[in-house]
Amino acid sequence: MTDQPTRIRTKAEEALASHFAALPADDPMRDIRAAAFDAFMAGGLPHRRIEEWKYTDLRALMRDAPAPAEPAPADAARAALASADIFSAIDRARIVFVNGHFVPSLSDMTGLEQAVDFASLGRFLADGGAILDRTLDPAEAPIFALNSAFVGDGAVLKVREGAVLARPLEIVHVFAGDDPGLQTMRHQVSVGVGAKAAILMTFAGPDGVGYHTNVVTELQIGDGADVRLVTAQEEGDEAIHLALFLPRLAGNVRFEPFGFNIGGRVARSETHLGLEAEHSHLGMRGVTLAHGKQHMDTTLTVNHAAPNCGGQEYFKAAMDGESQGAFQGKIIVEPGAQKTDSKMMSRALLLSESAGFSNKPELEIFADDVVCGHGATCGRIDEQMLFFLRSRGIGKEEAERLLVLAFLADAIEMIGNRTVETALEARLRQRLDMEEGLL
Amino acid sequence: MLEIKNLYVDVGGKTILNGIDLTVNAGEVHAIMGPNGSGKSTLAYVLAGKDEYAVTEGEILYNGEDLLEMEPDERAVAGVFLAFQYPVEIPGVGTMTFLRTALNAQRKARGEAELTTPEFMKLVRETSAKLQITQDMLKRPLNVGFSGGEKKRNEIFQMALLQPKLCVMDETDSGLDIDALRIVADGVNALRAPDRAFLVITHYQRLLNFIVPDVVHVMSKGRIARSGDKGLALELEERGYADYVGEAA
Repeated sequence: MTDQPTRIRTKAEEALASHFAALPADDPMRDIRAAAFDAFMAGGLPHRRIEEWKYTDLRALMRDAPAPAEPAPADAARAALASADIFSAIDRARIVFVNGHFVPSLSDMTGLEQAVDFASLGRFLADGGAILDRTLDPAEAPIFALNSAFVGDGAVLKVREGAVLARPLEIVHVFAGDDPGLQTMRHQVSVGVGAKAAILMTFAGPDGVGYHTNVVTELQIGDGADVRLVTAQEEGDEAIHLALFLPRLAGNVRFEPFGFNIGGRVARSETHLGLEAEHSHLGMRGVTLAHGKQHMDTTLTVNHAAPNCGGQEYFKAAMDGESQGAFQGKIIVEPGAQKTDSKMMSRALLLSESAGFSNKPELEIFADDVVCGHGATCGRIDEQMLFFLRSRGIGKEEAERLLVLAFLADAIEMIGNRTVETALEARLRQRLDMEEGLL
Repeated sequence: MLEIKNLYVDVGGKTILNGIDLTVNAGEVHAIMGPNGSGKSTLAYVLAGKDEYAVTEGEILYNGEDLLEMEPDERAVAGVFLAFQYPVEIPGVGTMTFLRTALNAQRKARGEAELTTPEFMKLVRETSAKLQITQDMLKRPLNVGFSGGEKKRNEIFQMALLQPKLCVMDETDSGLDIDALRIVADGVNALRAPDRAFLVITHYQRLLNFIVPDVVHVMSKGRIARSGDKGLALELEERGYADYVGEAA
């Protein structure tokens, strides 16, 4: 009896296997894809008995897996893009992906020609020249392995040394169509020494369509660079959104990523970040607003591998209806990363009896001269504040909305760019007002 | 305007108000004085509609209507205003946003047109000047970083903007220096009108030199122990509350 017990595949795993088998046989990336898919199938979809996935059991949450999506017809693509308008008030360049495929006719890089080199990953995939391997901890690997197996396109983006982007660059990901599909993208971004860049990432798609998004963003930030990244995730209400960010920071870098999470039925935003040289500063923030049966997961690992770096992570979530959320934040301070100054905070506001939120902060410190702290809270709306507002004639629901907005705006207003802050707050206000009985 | 009849109130299972009877007519200013723990603030909160106060007996009529049946925001719309002893700080809610939301919520609930931005700005400018509310205070989140005196002035500022009919002031004078006290009193006196009544809760007679009451009540052990004219306040200032602390025990 030496046979390994055969694991019973879930419906989604079966579907993924058949979609993988149907990929073109003459693909020059076939071997790399096959190795990645085999690695994925060995463990299957991650589930609650895997520590990193304890709160987001994909085996239960991902009931099926749609086939890779075809490119959308031009008019459908244009119509879908109109829904990804969260940053429409900002003068920005755009790289547009529809159903996971780069659409040059909808993209606009005007003004960035001297600062940025761009190519679609699809080109390198077609000639077998794409580099998809990167060593990851097996526990982090499921999204990554699936991404390597199915990736169809992405942005290969290089911000030149010393360049300053004349206007922000938005990478738009939008799903078009009434039938579910899988869109898998890999972005490989490098920001040159001393460059300054503001990057926006937008995810949008139709409600009522169970499409899946899998996106991996590799981000290499060179010495002395300054990068602001705002991700607005407002996928459709039946979508599954799996995002993996892999930033690596050289020295003297200032990196400020912000995550805005309001979309999807299941959404996980996972970041594994390395501070690899001295005097870099990370300011990472995010907000989540969920209702109905949404499941929202923010997971991050910040690895301090070099001394004299600072890290601040600040996350807020407001959960209504039967929504469930999780925050897992791990700070690692490697031996030798002395004088690390790292603080992490996660606060959740529960707006209904059935909403839930799990906070799991972790510190792994192997250096002895550091300042590290973390905090986590889950609470209800402050009764004193609510009574005060109501005593001035503001109705209960409006007062609650005002307090939820204030709670989340506190993190948004750390972005430091009023136009972006206004765009995100307008979206929150819209979401809070539109949904009857949301609060 | 306000009729409180035989009011009994429990807080956390403990009886705090023991049969209050009080009638306040439009145009009158009533002062409520009394030692600490006599139930003055409880009375204020019950009038404003705070949750954790359980009325076990009695009733409160406001213009003939059952006040206890109304939600806190409905009471405010009907003209009841509580100036808090400890105004609440609300980070993230701008003072101007708050004022405009409150003003327009009340107007909307009364079927009146909401104020436009220029109308609102004009009203704020005129009203804030009288109470020495600075632009800087208006720009900050509600009461965040305000000094004690600024918070109290901000309460009277809200009262002046919202133009309530029944103004309940819960120890508005506590923590105020003499200059701030004068600003607050001037603000209140400017609001005195034949169709408006005030219930001024205070520990000290000092405030009543500036806001002269028509009637003074002394509360003790959750009931009104004595009522009189403004002379009663002077008498209390001289003799203290010793007579009342022991009395109902």
